[in-house]
Amino acid sequence: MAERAKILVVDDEDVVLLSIRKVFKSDAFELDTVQSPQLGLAMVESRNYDVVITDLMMPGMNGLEFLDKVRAMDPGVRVIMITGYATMRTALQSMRRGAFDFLAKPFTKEELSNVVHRAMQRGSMTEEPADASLAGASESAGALEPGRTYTLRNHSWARIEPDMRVVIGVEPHYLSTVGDVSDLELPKPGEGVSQGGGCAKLFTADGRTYSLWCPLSGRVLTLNTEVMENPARLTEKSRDLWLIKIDPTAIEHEIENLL
Amino acid sequence: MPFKIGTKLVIAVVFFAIMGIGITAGFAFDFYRTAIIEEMIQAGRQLSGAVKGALREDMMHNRTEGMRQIISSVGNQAEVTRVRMFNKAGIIRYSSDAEEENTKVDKRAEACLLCHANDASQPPKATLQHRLFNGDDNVLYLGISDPVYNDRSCWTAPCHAHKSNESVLGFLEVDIPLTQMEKKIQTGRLHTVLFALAAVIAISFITLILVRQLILVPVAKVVDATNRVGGGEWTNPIYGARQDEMGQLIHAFNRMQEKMQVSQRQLIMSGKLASVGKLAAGVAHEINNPLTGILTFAEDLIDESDTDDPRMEDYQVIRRETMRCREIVRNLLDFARPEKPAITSVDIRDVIMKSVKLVERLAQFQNCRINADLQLDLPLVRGDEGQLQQVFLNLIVNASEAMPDGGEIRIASRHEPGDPLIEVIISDEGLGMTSDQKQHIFEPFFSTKGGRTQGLGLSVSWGIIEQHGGSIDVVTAPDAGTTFTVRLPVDRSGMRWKS
Repeated sequence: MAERAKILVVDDEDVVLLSIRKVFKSDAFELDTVQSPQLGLAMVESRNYDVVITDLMMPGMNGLEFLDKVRAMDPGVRVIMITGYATMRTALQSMRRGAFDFLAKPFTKEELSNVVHRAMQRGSMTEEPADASLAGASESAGALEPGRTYTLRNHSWARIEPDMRVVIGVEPHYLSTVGDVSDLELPKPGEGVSQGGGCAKLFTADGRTYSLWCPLSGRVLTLNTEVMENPARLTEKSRDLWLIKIDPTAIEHEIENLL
Repeated sequence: MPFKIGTKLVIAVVFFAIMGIGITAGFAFDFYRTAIIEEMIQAGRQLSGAVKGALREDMMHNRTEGMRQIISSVGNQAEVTRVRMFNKAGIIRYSSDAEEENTKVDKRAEACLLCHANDASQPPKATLQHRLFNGDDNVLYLGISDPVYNDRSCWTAPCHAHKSNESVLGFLEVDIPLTQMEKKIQTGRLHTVLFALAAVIAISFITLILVRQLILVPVAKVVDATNRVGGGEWTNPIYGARQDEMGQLIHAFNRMQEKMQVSQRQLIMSGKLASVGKLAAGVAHEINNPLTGILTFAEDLIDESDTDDPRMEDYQVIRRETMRCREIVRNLLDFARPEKPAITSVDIRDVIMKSVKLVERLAQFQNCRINADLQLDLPLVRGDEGQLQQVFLNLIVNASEAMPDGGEIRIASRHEPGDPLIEVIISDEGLGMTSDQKQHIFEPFFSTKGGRTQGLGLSVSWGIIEQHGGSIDVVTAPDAGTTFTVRLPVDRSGMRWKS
């Protein structure tokens, strides 16, 4: 039997802790739950966790601060932020600062177990380093350069095309955590996508479905039929293989949430 | 209490009418008085001429008794007070007043001064003269002094009373009382005053009526309406089709009230949206944790139960409906978190054409024709391109949804040079709305689509356009289609983003 995954959950809401317990009740997981960030830090210090799942808004310490402290104590631990949908910007900022992923409440069992499953994949691919310079290091709108690639760290990338449209693809690190992609579901042209919302569903060989967060908001213009017809090509982990092309609608504001 | 406008105007009009009519009447009165006196003088001359003619025969024959008789009979007539005849030396030879006969008058007497000027060195005027004088009885008299000239028959008469070298032999004086004339003049004056008074009263009355009808009544209406608006209530538009300044004032008032009503509606709407937004954010935040519990517990029940468990369907319902709640909460939060527009110069034509291109591919547009006829010279507007696109997409999609059997969506623009706003008009030939539906379409959670949507689209659009300093209006009726008019402020700087 493989080593049990050690997970710490920090949330001040009892029902959330209970819910997460329901998801990880199998013997494959060793779950600790605490209700305060201070207790959480003490636990991280004393035990060696694989994954820390934490609420983004807690009394006493905000999620970003907690994230920084956890990563300072144990750089190897993967931190998953649970967020209310209203605090999307903070969630995206936490990605820049080294969170492994985020999940908006209320989440399904599948969403939670999938993200933890990904976090447990210690592939050979190294993570993109977090932005250490942190707060305020945002790009101004004037820095929008065609040809440059911006990333929603460890998730998706966005490249500004010469016509100021944007193509979006999957980050290599993300692909290395989901395994072989067997199928792909993309939004239709004309539909809207929003930053931090899903912009692609990746179906993997092991039967899981992953939702890829979109790096920028906009309207879908075209899909890359090359990838649509042959999703397996994603395993090439090439940043030339884009999924969708969008007309960004709020790039000046949103770019500061990307790396 | 201060004088009212009407009172002031009437006082002014009465004052100037009195002045005007008084002066005119004064001049007219003087003119007629002079004319009447001229007439009297003329009559006096004729009388004295007639007397002279009657006396001539007696004078030729020196019949003093006959002369005295004529003079006294003329002098005794009611219209004549006194007739007397002087000789050159100023001695009254004959008079209707017998007592003064053969008395001498001083040459400085008033009657004599007519011909003999004050200055005795001057030769006397040997022509007919007249004077107006007040008699001892305080009656005005007209005195006619008619010289009697010498002629051949005078010095050749058998009496030899006169010599050939004399030019004037004496004169006849006729004094006529002007009592009748004075009476007429008095009556004339009274008539003039009465007429002037009547005219002043009539003018004042007409002025009062005109002021009332043209100014006071409409002003009172405007004042009343203004007071009501000031007191926080709306009034019906004031009626008055006049084109004058008062009509313009009424029109301006109606327009002002209309604008105020529109902005008040907008304020109420903004307030509603803002409070709904706050409420939504708060509720969404609080509801997320319990929803997490419901969702994962329901899913756990599904996972743990056998596939033939009779409650499986119930669990599925719980899961499905919780997922629905999740979507509602997320949409609510999208609505509650409208980002401040990133204002740049936006080519609205470009935004609309992009929106049209995007939606044309959607299945629901298969039966719809989009006829976008936008002016080529539309100015740039101040706005957030992304948000504006959201608005136009929403309106175009709504238009298509209003026409399930297909039809034409017309998109037009309107802008006159100098207008601070441009208009984009989007109309469909669809089902339209009742006036009740129309009242609520911009309110959050109101939908005519029967629960298929959450009714936030138009609310969000409304909020976006309002933040842009513009407005959205709707004109609709059941089965008559719907027309949305979006107004956006023109960008004065004329700068373009992303050249």
